[in-house]
Amino acid sequence: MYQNIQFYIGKGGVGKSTVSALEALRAAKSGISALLVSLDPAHNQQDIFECELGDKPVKVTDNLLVAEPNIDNWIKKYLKEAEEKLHANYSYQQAFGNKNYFKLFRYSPSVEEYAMLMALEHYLTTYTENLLIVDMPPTALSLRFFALPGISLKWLEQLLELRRAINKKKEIISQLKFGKKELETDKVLTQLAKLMDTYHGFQTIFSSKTTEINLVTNPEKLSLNEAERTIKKITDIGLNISYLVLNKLEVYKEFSFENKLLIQKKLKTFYYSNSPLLGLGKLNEYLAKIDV
Amino acid sequence: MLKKLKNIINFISTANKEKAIEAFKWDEEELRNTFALLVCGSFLGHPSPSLHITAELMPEMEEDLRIMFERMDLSRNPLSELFSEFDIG
Repeated sequence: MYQNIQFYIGKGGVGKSTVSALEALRAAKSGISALLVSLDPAHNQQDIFECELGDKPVKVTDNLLVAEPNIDNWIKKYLKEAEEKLHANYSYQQAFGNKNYFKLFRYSPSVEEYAMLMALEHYLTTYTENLLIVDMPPTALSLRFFALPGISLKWLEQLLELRRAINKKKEIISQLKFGKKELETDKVLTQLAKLMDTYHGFQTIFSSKTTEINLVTNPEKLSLNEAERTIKKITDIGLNISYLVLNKLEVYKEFSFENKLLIQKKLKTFYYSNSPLLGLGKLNEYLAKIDV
Repeated sequence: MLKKLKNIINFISTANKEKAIEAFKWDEEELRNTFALLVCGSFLGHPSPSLHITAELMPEMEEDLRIMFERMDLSRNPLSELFSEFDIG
């Protein structure tokens, strides 16, 4: 089980991938075994570490594994599994009729966030490093990702209540017909309970004290304003931003911000680098400079 | 005489029981129809839960979907169904 999970979210281009790579490398250098997973479809980690990355984590240096899953493949995998299950359970004609419906799922809202949750669950349950760092996609998709368990639970609670009412009616029918309340296990009810467990699990992880949701931003007005709005939205979902990460700060330039919500947050800073931070050598060099 | 009376009572009781079962069955199917409509509402342009919930539940819902489609057919002729339910005509 991971002792600590850190998510890095923020506006596109603020440096989420670089910051998460630096934090992962910093932890690895201090002896903490870390897994860095990028859920960002931009796939920047393979450029940063200058090696080919995929679903399976690759060891880039001592104590550090990096994975860059292809979310499209996770969507395909999940739809294939659901369709196969449907074919196994349904009579031929009914299953045939639903086949086209499944094809459309791929392009439906929420499928991408759900595939991201499945990928996250995979890394949480398959690997046992001490620290999991997640490089997230730009703000809008990240917010939908964090909101998904809560929204799903609201639907599931209502569906569960309705399903219980259905089973109650079935019990009465069975009592009247056969004089006893014997019922076959309702697979839908079982599935609903299983889904609720899964989403409660995600909510627990997201709001745990050992999980950090860190917001990366740049010291310029547009990024800071968006950061403030993101803090509000994350709070609306019922979660908290742990750290505000100010990236690309200029060393000799004084900087202060007025945004009220941002001032209240704990701060991490990363200075602007004159050369692109690509390759382990450059990353290590940068860390050596700022960690003095 | 007593036996005949008993038979009549039994007959009435069975008939009433059957009617009660039918009524409960209708009620149960109505709830299942609502459930299927909620889960698969996008079939009909209803607001529905995120599709991942639909995809996770659908494989176990063959019977619910059958009821939903049956009810959709009935919606073309609701009066005849109501009349037969209440044994009118």
